[in-house]
Amino acid sequence: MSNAPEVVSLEGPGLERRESAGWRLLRRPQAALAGLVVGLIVAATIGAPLFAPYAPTATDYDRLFGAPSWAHPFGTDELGRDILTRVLYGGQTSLTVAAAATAIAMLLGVVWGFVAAFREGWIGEILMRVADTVMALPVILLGLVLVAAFGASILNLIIILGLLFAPATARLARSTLLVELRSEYYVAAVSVGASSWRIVARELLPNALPVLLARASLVVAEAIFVEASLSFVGLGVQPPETSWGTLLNQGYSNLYSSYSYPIFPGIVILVAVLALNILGDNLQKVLDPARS
Amino acid sequence: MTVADLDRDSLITVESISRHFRPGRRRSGRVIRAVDDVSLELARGETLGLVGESGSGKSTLARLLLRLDKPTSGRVVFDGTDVFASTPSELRRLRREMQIVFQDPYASLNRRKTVEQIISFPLVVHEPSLGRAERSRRVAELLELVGLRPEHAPAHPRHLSGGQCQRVSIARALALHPRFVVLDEAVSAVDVSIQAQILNLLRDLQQRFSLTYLFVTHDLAVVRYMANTIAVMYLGRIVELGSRENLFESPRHPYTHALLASSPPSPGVEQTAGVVLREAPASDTLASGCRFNPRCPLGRRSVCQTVDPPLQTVASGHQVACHFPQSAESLLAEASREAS
Amino acid sequence: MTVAATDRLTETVLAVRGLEVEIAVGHGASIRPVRGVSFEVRSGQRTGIVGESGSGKSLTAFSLMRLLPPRARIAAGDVYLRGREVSRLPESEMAGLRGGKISLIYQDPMSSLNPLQSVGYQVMEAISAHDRVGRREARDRAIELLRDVGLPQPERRVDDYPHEFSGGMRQRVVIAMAICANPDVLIADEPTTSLDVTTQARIMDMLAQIVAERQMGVILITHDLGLAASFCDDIHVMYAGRFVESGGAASVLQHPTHPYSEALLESICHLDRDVTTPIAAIGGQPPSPHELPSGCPFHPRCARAQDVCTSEAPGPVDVAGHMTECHFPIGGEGP
Repeated sequence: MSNAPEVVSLEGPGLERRESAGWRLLRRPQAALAGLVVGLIVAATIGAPLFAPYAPTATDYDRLFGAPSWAHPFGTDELGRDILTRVLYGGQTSLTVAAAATAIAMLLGVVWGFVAAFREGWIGEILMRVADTVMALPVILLGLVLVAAFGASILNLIIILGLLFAPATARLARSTLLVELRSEYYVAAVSVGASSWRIVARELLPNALPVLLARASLVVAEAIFVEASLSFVGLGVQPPETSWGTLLNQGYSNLYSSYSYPIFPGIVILVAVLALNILGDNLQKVLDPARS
Repeated sequence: MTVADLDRDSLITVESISRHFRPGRRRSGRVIRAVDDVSLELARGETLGLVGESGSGKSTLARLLLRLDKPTSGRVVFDGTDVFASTPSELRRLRREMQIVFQDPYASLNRRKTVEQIISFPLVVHEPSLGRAERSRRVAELLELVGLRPEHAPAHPRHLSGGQCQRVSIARALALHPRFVVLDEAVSAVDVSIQAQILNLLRDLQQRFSLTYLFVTHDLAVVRYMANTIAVMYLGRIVELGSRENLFESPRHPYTHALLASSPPSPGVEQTAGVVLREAPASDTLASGCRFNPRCPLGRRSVCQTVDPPLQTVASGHQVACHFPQSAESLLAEASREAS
Repeated sequence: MTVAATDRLTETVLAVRGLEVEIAVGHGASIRPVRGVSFEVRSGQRTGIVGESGSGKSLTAFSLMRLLPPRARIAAGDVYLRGREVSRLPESEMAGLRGGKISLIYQDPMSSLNPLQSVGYQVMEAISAHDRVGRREARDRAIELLRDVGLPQPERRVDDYPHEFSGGMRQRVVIAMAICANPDVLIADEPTTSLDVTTQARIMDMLAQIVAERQMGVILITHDLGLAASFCDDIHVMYAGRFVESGGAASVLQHPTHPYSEALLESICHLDRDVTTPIAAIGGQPPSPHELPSGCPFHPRCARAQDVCTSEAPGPVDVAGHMTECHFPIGGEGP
């Protein structure tokens, strides 16, 4: 009798064909809607020069503190500038800062977490305790202190936010990597004789990536929120740059002149953060129980 | 204590290897002797079977040989090179020569990679100058060798059955033409009918490529089929070591007798009452004396409770670590005499 | 150890007729891992269901207890527990029967036991679930039960936690919990697979004794033919969701009538087999419920297969006292 398997069936016993994570994500109505919203916001802000109805500096002294109307869906500000336009351009700043800060946080966090996972002894412990300490402090408070110390340029803001969000990512990266390090395929890779770097990059990281990506979505949401908060109190983006937070700030100061001024930037922040959170949440659910 | 058989051509020599774990805080003094002062020799082209149950240390020992773990003491010499004292480049060379196939077919394969990527990984690491086409060709060759088809190359582990995954593991292990392969319970997690296929495959491959195997298992019938020399382990020590004939025709250690008695016989053969062990103690702190004593039918002898028996030669190529090595019948007779 | 159940005047405690289990796999499709299983168990009888992975044996066991995974359901058939049909009972009533009239032991004792509760507490909990007794009495009964299952010094160990016991002792505790209410039927799903070989025999001996004392019907689910042969009175060999052969344990093992049973027996590595010849392995692999071959599910791997086997599923026939589903059974008419 032969020992070669005859049936070439590629269906594993009892397993269904798995769709990619992307498709599974889009099947969830929440996630699909959130994805759409995020996509719209990103497209609109990137394409601000295309979509904005007015130039960002165009003033209209006849319509100061205008209420929302067909001509100005979000109303006008103290200089008669269209708020929708300003929101779109401000979004460029907000999203850029958030995205860049997230990139730094993920990169730093992943390296931090991976080193801690690999060197589980003293080094790992110290790294994690540092992370715990930073996480114990309220993010906004810490942000305020750092901005006050180092100045509030956009670059500083990005770096500071990146540093603030790195520890939580580090913890996640570490625990994810620890799980993979306990697996047999890792031992198999070691037995093949691959160097540690190669194993991390080619074997372990791809398996950890989905979870990290899900986290990234949540970090962007938080970054938008913190940037807005810092800018709202004047310690974030500085004029003449605008962001959603500065718009909120100006709107708040002029609250008695125009109720609509702060509301729309506020709503945009709310919607963006909510959508990103839902997206990240659903990504986690889609990737977590279904996998392994 | 080394295995005496000096005219064999040894590929691997294990000298007094130990692996102790100290769980918990340093001062608690609790030590787990997973592998305790084990010495072995593997001749080129032979299969050494390592038999034991859970806690015997067989898997730990197997990993130590491959430098997948660090010993507390002892040496492993592979073809003249000290495995643990080797330089990084020597180690790299060694890793080409020795490979391992694990028990769990799915866990030992990276679930995100295709079969092609998994099997070509060793080639990517050690022979980077090989072009893609050449690598693919080698992978196709290996697939055929282990009884898989080219259609399997782009599949992921989750699309394959357990038996097919084990074949992929074997293909990966053979990619660099190693001389030594460790099979760590490699057939324990697959169906019986597939087990037979894989065992046949392994024997076939050994013949073709003059491989040396370390076959780790808890199944006595399988180890008898696969191995020419067999070591029985209990709680970190080798308690009996001998050729297939020695061990199965004239076993001498009470533990070996018990293992044989628990192994199901061929259908139709009446199972004669065999040696039964006493219940294992819950704690793993080892008493002084023979570590098998708490379970041994001859439980009450003072020498067994105070002196740990070393491996002693009872016949040519046959060693036993016991103060009273004997046949099963005589053991049963003595045990019942002691009980009365 | 084997006592022929036919010698006793016993009643049928479990009768299964045409059981089929269906699992939804998405996109409106479904598979049937269990495709028509029928058998009976009498009190004191030890029945074995033997099969490899994908045969549907564990699913059969779970469906008897109505412990089906989320997208599974009993699609057809009846299950009679002491004459009472239970496959369509409301869940609340079924819950009362579980553990009480029909009980299940799993493969891995550690996952059946709560690591944070003492074993005594867990056994007492099992007792109280089916019987109104005071704490004092529950504790005494728990200790006696632990003694019955062979736990040494139960009065001293009753307050110990699961991690303080070895694997074999934990399995004994699980068995104690399963039998505390004297169920009519005990299902043991691979009860010794995760245990050491030297412990297995003792556990099975203890189980045999308990079952004889309490006259329970036992269904042993296993992949280990040898184990089934030594413990069970009769065996059902399961393949691709159906019983392909049923008969007395010793008889099926020594004179199999179905090609799969025979091939399976020949592919087992025995302690006294010839070491120089390759093992007669069955080619191919067990079919997945997603892709069942047409006709007889074993035909792609069968040495005796003919044309009719590829198109027509064989019905049960009686050959030498065994029920066999084969067009050309061994020992029957045919090639």
